[in-house]
Amino acid sequence: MVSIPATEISPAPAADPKARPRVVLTNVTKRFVRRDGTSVAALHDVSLDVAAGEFVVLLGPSGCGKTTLLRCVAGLERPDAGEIILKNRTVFSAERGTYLPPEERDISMMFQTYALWPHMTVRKNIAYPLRARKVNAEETNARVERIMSVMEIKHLADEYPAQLSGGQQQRVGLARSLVTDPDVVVFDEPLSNLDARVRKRLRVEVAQMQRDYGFSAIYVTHDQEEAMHIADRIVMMQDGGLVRVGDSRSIYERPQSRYVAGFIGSFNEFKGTAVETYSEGSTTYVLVDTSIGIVRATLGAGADPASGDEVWAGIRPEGLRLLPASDATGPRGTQWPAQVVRATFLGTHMEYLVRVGETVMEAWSGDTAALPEGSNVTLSGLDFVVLTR
Amino acid sequence: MTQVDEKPVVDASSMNAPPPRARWTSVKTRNSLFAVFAVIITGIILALVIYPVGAMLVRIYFPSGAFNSGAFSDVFSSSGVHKSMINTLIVVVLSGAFALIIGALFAWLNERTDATLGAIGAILPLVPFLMPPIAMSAGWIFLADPRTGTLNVALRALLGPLGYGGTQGPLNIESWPGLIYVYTIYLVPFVYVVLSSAFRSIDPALEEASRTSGAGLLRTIRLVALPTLRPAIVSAAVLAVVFGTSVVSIPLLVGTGAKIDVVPVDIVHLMQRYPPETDQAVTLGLLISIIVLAAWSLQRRTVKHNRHATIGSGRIGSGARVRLGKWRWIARAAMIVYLLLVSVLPFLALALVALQPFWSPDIKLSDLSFDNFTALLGSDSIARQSIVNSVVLALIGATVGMAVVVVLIIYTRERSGRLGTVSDFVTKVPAGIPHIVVGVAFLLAFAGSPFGLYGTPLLLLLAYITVYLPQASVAAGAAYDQVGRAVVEASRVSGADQTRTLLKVQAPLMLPGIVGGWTLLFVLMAGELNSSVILASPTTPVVGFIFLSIWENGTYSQLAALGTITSIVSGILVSLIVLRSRISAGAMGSQ
Repeated sequence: MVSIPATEISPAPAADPKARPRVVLTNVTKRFVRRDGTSVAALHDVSLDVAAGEFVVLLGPSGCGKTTLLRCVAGLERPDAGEIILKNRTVFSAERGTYLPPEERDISMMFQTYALWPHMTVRKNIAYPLRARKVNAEETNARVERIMSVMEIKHLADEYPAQLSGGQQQRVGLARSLVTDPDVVVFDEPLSNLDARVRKRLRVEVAQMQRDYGFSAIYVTHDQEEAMHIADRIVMMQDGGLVRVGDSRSIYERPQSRYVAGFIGSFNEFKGTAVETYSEGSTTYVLVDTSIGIVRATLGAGADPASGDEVWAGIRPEGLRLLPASDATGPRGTQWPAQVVRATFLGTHMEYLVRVGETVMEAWSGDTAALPEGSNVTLSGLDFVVLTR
Repeated sequence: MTQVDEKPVVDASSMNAPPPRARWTSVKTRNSLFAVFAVIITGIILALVIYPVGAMLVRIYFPSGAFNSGAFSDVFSSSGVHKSMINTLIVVVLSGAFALIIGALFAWLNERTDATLGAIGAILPLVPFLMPPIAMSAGWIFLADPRTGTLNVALRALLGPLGYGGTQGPLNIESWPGLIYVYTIYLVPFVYVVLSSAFRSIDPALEEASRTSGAGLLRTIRLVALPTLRPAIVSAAVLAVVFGTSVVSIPLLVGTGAKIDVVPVDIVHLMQRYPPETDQAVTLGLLISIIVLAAWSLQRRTVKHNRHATIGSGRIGSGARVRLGKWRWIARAAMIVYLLLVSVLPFLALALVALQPFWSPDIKLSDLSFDNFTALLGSDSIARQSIVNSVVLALIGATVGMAVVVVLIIYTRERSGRLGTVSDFVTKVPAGIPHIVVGVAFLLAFAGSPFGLYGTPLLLLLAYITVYLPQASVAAGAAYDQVGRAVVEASRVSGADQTRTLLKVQAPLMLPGIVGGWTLLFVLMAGELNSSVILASPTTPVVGFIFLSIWENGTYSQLAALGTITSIVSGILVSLIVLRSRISAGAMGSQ
């Protein structure tokens, strides 16, 4: 369990500060019992709010609990403790013994395997949620036609799912989720089964739909690039708990933990010993003795390592710059003599592996004129940050 | 605790939630009805499975409370029984071994080499259902009887000019080789099914890794392929032992002529005496059950400790096939020859004899007619009565059997709990009890008072349903699992409750599997012999029972006609299953 300094949590963007959150999870815990009898906490004391019209992405590697959390919201799993409130209705409360089955929660869901009913046409698939909620035939038809036009799948109306491509199936799945005009839609890695190009296209469509229809979205993915593209807020999970919540920028620029830093984007990290701390204006720095020498790292608020404490510091590859070897103008702890080990041209930027002493680091440069391998440079890094474990 | 946002503005408990009580109760009631249903069904099945067998054991071994070993001493002191037990051992072990080799070879040829013939893969597993073993045994007797067998007649004609004299042979079905031969071709499909599925699912990368590491073909087979296949080989051997030990029709027809008695035949003889030697028959039946149960538990133990690698994702069917070059055609020919031997040839023999007025090696075209068929199907013929009985019983039995297991499977799969384990166990138990033992048990338990079901179709029906519960539940389980969790969850989240989901999503998607299971059950029940031989009577004849009567009467051409009819009907039904499964698989695409 990781504790997070309270000031680094971005609150839910509230269009109307007085509006109640659409989804409220409080202390949700879910345990699974393994075959040998040991109990595993898939979710541990998870609390989260999702505002109306907000797009929240649950991000993390497999096993972190994001899918379990989603399924608890949908009603497909029953937590062992805590409370879940959807649109002001308590759909689950361990204390009161309340548990509404999925069909009574009035939300929609998109599945990783599309889960279209193979024995029904596209039209019937999309109409199903309306018929299940006893909407009359006439209105059902009208709404189905409308959403098929919007999603541009009208020409597929009488096809069966097996005859559609992956992208088409997922579009049908999206139409089926939205035909009921839901206030909350949950997504279980819906694009993971698609190839990259289709995935990018559908991602944009999903985001567009969310903006147009204004539903709250809870979206599970392990793909951090996808998360950064569509999320209003990213919720990073690890081992059944939330470790970091915030918008893309704050998570990327201030990951705070090595876990988050390593999961989103690339990261160079070093273990070292704190030497001294000092302030300059509003920023507090700590000088850390690491394998590459003294490194100046920014301290987060509230952290105050004593001299001799173990500290982890890191910097993103794009934060490192390759300066001429003679340059020595940087502040203490921001420059080190280095040697280019490998230069790779990646189209948009150069990716360098540079060696400082025995350590090899990754550095990106927007200047695509390649520095030759073996050349000596001064490595400059002004944006090192301190990370918790 | 991780605080992500400030606490909601309004306390959750004061919000307007609809009274949870009302909804909770209504959902519960619906589920409760279903649950009650499932419990009742499980109870009835439990009674059907446990009571007769249990009562029989108690009656024989604990007649007055204390253990009575009389039956044991009677049985095991008989030298005839000793001989039977040894014979059974020899037959099962030898034919099992041969079947294992042939079946494994065919599976390997069809799945891993370029000698594959798609049709073979589809038809081979269904062979036992195309032709009931009794019809196949009869067919082979008509083919290879030393004096009058059609094949022998043809071979003698061919070999005569080459110096083959004599009026007998060269093939003799009524001998040890003959008996083992028929057992072997009967057991091959069971072995094939298990091993072909194993070959299909083993990751070919394992073997490829061995080959690229420098190991030759033989070494790879020895060190990689065989160990990986070990669980499947054990399963196949277990199946061979189970079916080899419990089949009655083959030894009854072929073995008796060869004067080779095996244990199941002894059981039939003991029950046919007047008065029937029930205790001894049951003791022998117990012996078979123990062997079968031991075989099943061996298989379970092997599968449990399965540390063997199976397929990784996306590798199904990939991996280069071994190129056999010109051997390819020989291999294909071998497989086709097998199919002919096990189905077409005996069928033709049956048809030929059926068209003759009596079984004779001299075939005069002018004598051929459909007289046997008309006599068989004539309005007052007992054979016709037995066909009608078998069909009706199979229709009802298959329907009731599938309905019962479907209800159980839906109930138990959707919740875990003790009922699930109990009903799962109960539906699988009959697999460990040979049909003939079930027949005896049902006779003892239900024929007399207080049930008084002697000679009634109901007795047969109950026995059929009980005996085929394992097959039914496997089919129902497969149908259920094939639907998948995602489409069911999608339905629930779309607003459909459990009932609606069952009716609109699960039932339609399970239907092809259920129909397949129904058809399988129908074919099995219509041709059932192993328990019918005990439970049927001249007043309630069924096909299996009549087969044996006709055989004992010696009206072989009528037997051939009956065999032809059953084979044609089975063949048509089985082809329907295959066609239907291909059509539905095509329509639904990959799931």
